[in-house]
Amino acid sequence: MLTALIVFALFAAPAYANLATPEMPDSTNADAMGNIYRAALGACIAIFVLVGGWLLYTAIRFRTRSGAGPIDPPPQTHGSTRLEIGWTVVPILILAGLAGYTFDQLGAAENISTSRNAMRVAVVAQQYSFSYTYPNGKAPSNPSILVVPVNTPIDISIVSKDVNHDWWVPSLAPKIDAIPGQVNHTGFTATHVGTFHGQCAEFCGPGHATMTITVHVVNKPAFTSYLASLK
Amino acid sequence: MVTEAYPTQAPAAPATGGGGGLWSWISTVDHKRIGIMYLITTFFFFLVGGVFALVLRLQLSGPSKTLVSPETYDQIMTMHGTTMIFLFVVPVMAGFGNYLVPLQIGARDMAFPRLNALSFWLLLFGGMVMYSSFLWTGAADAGWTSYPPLSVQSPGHGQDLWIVGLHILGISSFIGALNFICTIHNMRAPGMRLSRLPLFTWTIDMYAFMIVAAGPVLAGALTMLLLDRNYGTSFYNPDHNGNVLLYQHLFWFYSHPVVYVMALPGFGMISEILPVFSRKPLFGYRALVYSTVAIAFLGFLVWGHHMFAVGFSEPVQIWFMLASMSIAVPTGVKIFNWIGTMWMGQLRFEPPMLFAVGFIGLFLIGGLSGIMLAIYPIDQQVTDTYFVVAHFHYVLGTVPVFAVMAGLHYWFPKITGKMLDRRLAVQSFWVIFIGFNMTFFPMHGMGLSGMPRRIATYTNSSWTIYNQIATLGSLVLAVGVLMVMWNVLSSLRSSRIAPGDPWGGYSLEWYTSSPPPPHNFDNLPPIRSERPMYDVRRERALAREGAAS
Repeated sequence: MLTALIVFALFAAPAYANLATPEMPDSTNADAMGNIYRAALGACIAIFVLVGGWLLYTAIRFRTRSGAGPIDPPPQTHGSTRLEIGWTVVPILILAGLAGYTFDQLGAAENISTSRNAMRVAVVAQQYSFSYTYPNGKAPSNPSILVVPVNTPIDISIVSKDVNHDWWVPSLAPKIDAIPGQVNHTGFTATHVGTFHGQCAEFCGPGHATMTITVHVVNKPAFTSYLASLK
Repeated sequence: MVTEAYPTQAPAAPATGGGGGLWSWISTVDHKRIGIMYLITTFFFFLVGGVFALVLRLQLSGPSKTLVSPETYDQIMTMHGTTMIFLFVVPVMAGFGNYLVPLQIGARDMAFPRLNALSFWLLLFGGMVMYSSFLWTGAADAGWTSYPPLSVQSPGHGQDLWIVGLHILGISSFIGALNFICTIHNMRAPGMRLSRLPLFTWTIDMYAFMIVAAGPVLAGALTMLLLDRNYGTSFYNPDHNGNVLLYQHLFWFYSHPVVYVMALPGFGMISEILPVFSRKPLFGYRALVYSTVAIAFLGFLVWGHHMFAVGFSEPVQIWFMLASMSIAVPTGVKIFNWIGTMWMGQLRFEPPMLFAVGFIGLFLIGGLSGIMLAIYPIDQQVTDTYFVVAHFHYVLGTVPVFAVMAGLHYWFPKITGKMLDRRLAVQSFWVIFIGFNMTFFPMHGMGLSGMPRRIATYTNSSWTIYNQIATLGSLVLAVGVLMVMWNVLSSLRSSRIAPGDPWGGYSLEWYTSSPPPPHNFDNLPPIRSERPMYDVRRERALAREGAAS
């Protein structure tokens, strides 16, 4: 247990400094997701410290050393209905609280853009690349780089040509599987200009590790001229 | 060490009886010998699965490593998961169950001894069929989940041998489960009511019911996969109105309950060991039984949480989120009642107790990350990343390397008649504990910083440090496992003879000699509580006092 705590302290800092996303969240729904994540993480760390601490305290406080001589048997308690009901009800309340907060944030974390202003991008996944089509039927000038405008809802519709894949850019949008025979949707509203990386997150064969995603988020005028320049 | 002998019992009998010789083992229908063969076979597969894991860890110890090709990596990754689940953790519980259930309920043998032998031989045969793929065109390479269409496309016959092997293993565990149910419900000694059943036997009962309920669903899914691959059917082919997701639903309808098939007997072992080494009864026996049944039932309602990224509608996501979170309640009850059992006790940190307490602490981490993963917006972020790999190793990796190790150290004297080297056992616990946490804790960080699982290599240098620690940890873990193995092998030849009841146990297996004679018991004590051996000792102490005064 002690080692678990030390290991926890050593790695928790770098691991959780990133929180849910490798960079700071760069889209509105990644932001809401981050809120839910922090709430759940906080609750879980609190529970770990309390319950783990109780376990550790019990293990140290009530240990007997070998060779301590004959000892009277400890009290043979068979349980306590009041305590047991307590530690059934309290977790239910904590879980209900977490679920309630999740419902509260769900609207913002929702990855399907219902906005009428959303720009729709059609994505087709195949072993081992993603290809993109803009609403005007054009593909990006570099087929492997999706260019999108900042502060604009983007609706991604995705399907696969061959096996299951998954489109995931950690700091922009939640994962969505690309499945043959089924069109799935995800979406995001990027809040910062920049380049964001991700990769396929559903095992798709020997080239799975090489199936990368790059998204350029540019400002709106730059995007308008980019879209016009596409052939 | 309690060295009290129970004079009504026959002195230590030779091995498990019936003479030696290979043929006597091949032809045996004795539940103890079958149990031992299960344990040897499954621990062998554990070592093989562990070597696979080391290859994966070495490949990922730094960016762009080329120790093995991606194709080989995928085969090893697939066989690591398949081996650990289907050839180690599920059947090792059948091994302990075989050995212990008849002893714990005061029976002569399992209900169907010959069927029992068949379950074991089918396990060995199924494993050999699956592993024979390495000799032909290579093993299955679509992951232990083997989702179509990838698993339909998979070249060669590795995937077919995987399917057929799993079918054989499925029959093995199915008839084994029926045997457990019949044994537990029909063969109990007089006085051994269900309300007095040892917790390990209770969890084996739930294990068996879950296998019977879930197994046929996997068999159906695999049969359709086999037909799609070889006979032109289109169950999973969307071009001919098939449905890719059908497989995922059926697979997880089986495989989520299997998480509890693996975990519940581990919980049962912990529930046996803690009271004995705390010198107290279980705190809340009924609550522990009810929570076991509740987990077994709820386990069938939550399979969709493995599929939060497939595009379910919101109400479906919410159902699976709430149902999955609810499992935390009975699981929490178990943890609290375990600590309640230790509270105010006289804790003896013998090796089984160390592993048991280590299990509770680490399983707590896995349980808590499970709550986070049940919240589907979080899951959509970290599913299919190393965060999930970290989670399920803290849940299911702790079962074999802490709960099963606790059970091994606890029952080894009973099974072999020899005591393990205590010093070496304590050292191996700490090596395993440190190695386990070094290996799996950094995986949370990998996942949170965006590393998907099942990638054969990576270039993102921010993942390197986590991977280096994990690889180093896996080597430490391997040393710990080798220390346990050395302890087991050297103790078999040692002169540390185990008495019938070395720990002051509570359940009936400690009433007979170590190892028990072929017929298990010459006679049985009266069974008046869930701790018949405690009652025996107390009555004898009272009789001594009476005689003295």
